[in-house]
Amino acid sequence: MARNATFAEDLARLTERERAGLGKRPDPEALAALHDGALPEEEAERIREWLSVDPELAATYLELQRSPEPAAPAFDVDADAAWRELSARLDPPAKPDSTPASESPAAAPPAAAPPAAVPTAAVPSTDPTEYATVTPFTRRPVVRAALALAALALVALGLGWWQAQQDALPTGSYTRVAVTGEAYRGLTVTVPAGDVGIELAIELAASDSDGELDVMLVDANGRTIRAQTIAFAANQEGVVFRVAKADLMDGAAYELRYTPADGPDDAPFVFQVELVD
Amino acid sequence: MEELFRELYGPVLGFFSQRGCSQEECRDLAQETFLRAHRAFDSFRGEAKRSTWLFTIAANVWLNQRRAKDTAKRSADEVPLPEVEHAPRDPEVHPLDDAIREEKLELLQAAIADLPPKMQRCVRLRVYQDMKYREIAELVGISIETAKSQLSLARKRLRSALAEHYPDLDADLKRLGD
Repeated sequence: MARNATFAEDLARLTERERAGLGKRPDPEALAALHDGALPEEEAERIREWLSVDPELAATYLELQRSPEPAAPAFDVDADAAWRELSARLDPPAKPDSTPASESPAAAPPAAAPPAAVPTAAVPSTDPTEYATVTPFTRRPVVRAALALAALALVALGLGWWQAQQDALPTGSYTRVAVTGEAYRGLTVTVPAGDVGIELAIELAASDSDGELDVMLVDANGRTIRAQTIAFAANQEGVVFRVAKADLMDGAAYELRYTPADGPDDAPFVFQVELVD
Repeated sequence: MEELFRELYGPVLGFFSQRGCSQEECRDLAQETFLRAHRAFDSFRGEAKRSTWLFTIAANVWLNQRRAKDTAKRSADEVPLPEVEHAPRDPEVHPLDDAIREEKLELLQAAIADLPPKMQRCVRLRVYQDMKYREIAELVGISIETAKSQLSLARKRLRSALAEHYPDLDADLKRLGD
């Protein structure tokens, strides 16, 4: 006979089943609004329901409760240098002949500014010690203007196509799931088409009879993200365990635990999930 | 974005500093926080204060970092085991077990559904998430005393509904308090 599950084990299983039917997982702003007391009662209740069944959301909310308005630290804060570093990572450096300085101050930090020797009438230096080399105006042949117009039209077409591609991407916080540690001891993680989540394929040892496999995905704190008992038929080569994208956190490490019907735990399979914009 | 950064960069550093991070870690984690905020900036709906929203992102960044560290530490502590064959399955496992298990789950579901919503949340937070009374109170939005009394009432009600189906029920229900 199989061992009787305890109340705690069954409650965990039940909770994970019910979580799947709760609808959209609250995003950070919804948690923040709950903390601020800015939500209508009904919505606040919906989010508190999520907190009771989702350990990661609960941990985030408790962390927020710990110190909602912290002061600046004791060490020196060089916000200018930090902003320059950040803004260089936010956007590619602006091209001096295409972007007026007033349009995107963040895109052209001092570190990424073009050297003074580059001809650049459009971006005057704000540093009085630097002088830009200005090319005098000359009358250009009409054919060059036509070529420039054609090039502009091509760029506009390209931008339009790119925008259409962006619009066609699925909505949501992230558009792509990537994983590291794709294969290990008879286990394979794949991201199926459509980017709805991940699939973990688990090889089975040869068996003459039907059976079932308990599979559990836990986070780095040992909390269960998803658990499932997967039935398999005699001589079936493997089973697939699916985890929805909504249940995954960007940058988090997860461990897959599974136990053959009466055997010991296998060595854990740990992998990292990356959700990509 | 720059305005948000200049207003809250110091406090975000403070957020990580309060959690024992070194100066370098604070700066790295603050950068990560603002990068994520930048990615989500257009979808900000204005339901929450911008500062609270940013600190929620910071909390996520912090928890992810801690999980990654824990995992790395655990991996380093582990001694790799030799490859082992899968143990043979128990031939006595019977398909009837599935039905019994499902039936028990349905009974549990009914017993939990009979509890008022806040009491259900208290039970899940205590048993499933292993939370302390103070944490349960914060997550459910009630006082610590109310959380304790909700759990105590839940214990009595669940015992009367489920005792015959879970032989070790009392041991689990002890976590709900007296």
